Amino acid sequence: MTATDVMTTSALPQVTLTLEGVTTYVRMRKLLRPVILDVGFFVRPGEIVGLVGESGSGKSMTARTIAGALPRGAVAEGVVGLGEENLLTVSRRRRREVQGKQIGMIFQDPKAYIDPLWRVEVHMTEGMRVHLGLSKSEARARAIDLLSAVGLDQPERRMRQFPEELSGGMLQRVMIAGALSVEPSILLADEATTALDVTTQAEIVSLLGRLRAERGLSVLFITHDLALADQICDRICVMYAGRIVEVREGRGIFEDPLHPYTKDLLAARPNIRKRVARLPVIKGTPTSAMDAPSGCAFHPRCRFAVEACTTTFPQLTAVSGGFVRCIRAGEQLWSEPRAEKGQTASETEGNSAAGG
Amino acid sequence: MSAVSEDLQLLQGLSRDVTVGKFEGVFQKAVLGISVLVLLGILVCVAFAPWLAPHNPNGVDLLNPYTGPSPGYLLGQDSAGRDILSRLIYGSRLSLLGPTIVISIALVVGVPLGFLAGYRGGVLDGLISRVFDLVFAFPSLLLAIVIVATFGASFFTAAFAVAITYIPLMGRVVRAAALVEREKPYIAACRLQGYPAWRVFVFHMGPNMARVLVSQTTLYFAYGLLDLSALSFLGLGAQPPQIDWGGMLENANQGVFQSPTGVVFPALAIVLLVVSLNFIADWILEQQGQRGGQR
Repeated sequence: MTATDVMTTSALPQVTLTLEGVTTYVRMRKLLRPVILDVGFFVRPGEIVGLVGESGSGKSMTARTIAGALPRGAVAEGVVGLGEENLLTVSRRRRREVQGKQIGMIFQDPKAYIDPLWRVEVHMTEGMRVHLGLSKSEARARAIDLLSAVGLDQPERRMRQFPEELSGGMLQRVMIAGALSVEPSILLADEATTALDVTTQAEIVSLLGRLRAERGLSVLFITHDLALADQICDRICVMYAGRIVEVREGRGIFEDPLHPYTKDLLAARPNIRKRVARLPVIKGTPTSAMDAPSGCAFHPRCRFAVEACTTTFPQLTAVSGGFVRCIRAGEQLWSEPRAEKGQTASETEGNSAAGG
Repeated sequence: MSAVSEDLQLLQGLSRDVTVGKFEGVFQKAVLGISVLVLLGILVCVAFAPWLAPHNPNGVDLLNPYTGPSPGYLLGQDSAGRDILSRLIYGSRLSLLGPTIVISIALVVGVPLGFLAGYRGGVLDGLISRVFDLVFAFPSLLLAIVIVATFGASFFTAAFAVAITYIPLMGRVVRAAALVEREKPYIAACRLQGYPAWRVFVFHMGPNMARVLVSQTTLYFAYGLLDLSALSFLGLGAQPPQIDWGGMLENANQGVFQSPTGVVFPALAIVLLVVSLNFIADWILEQQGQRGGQR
């Protein structure tokens, strides 16, 4: 029984979205090469699940696999379960219907994803008219409610405005409102706050939190910002080279990372309280799924790699606090993770003494 | 004047500078106004030719060929002593109808073909594009001449022949626009939202491509007028007693040193129509360009 099985069976009672063993290939010069590999996780109603990783780690590909927006020639295998159906095996027609009604999606650059020629009203009401069969006036009324629900002032006026007249943050709110208009069961937020400045980012994040609390909205929150994900997510999946290397329940990825990659990644973050001459780096360069070495994709860069890491493909294994894809899972690879705080404090003292 | 209000004025001045469009200055507005008047004037000629023309456009006065302007004949008389003004007024009909036929055929056939090629790509694109290339391989006027020569010279054959050479022109442009448009994130978003294909075409791709279509249509209308005039000039277009501006040019060609009015005024009419259309197209594009457009 693999970890993915454990995860899905334990979650069976009520899940909005399940991914099981999803592998997506893209076609390159007649060859199918994987971009994500054996990806599995689930999102329960009202949960915000984070998908984090660096560029090329496969987080957006995962989103595109779920949304059915794969590039030409790409193939996806496995199970993308939404409701009772596996979206990867249903007919194209049914798939379009399901993804339109059940999956809302917001993107990094809202301006590019809203047709510039139409007033906000058209963007807002189109989905409701197509999918819910509402009349123009019904859709209009609901759109105005939604716009105020996502915190836009003067919703009536916004309806009459053109996308170019709104700021990036306002447009992202319009995108969210538009995505919610057909009452999807899950919202995919692909780097939805990345292009916004931090204040707006904080507003959008708290908006997502509020919508989750008020409407039981499920969100798959894709970002490269670990700290941001840690703030709002109920569960975080860390991706590396197209596979999920760590799944964390609840908060705590910062205190107690499970995978050596996450551990090193966190160590490489600047800390406002700790002055260092040079941030630690992870040696080597990030790799994509198609160039990943055999065995564990991270082994060439891993401080804890052993002989077996180069040959054995690790499975996601349950450990206390989550799941980790590492054959040395369960071993105490680094000393006293929870003592790190004290250590940090003393280091800070040492540094400031040296600086003064 | 206080520093603050000076600053304010400066700011306002600046912001005004930034927002000046092509048609916001007085001169530009005048140009646009004149263009619209010219087009309206020509349309009035088309509609009311029998009432406006002072003479029978085909009324021959063989004793006065190639005469200059006179009180009875304001723009002079042509090779057979016919009134140039009356012929200009009547000639507006075919001169406008010709390019309209050309553009209509080019739009009706070229736009769907170009759109399919650009949007679907693959084998279909290859097939359509190669057919376009085939037509492109001939100089367009030469191809038109061949077609006219095959089917016999007449106004409609000429219009049809020119139209055939314009189908790939229009198709190419639409194909390129569709190629660009189908990759736009908002089109992807429409598909993600599960909107039916026709809806995406009609409400999103179409309007966003309209910009290109409008500009090309006016441009090709003008080109079509010129090509048809050229065919008429060669005697392959409108046949007497049909009158169009290109044919008038041909007719007046030989007498240009006796009385240039027969050449000058039809040529002027063609130029005025083409230039006005271009200004109006520019203006339409600018109105539309206010939204998105250049992305």
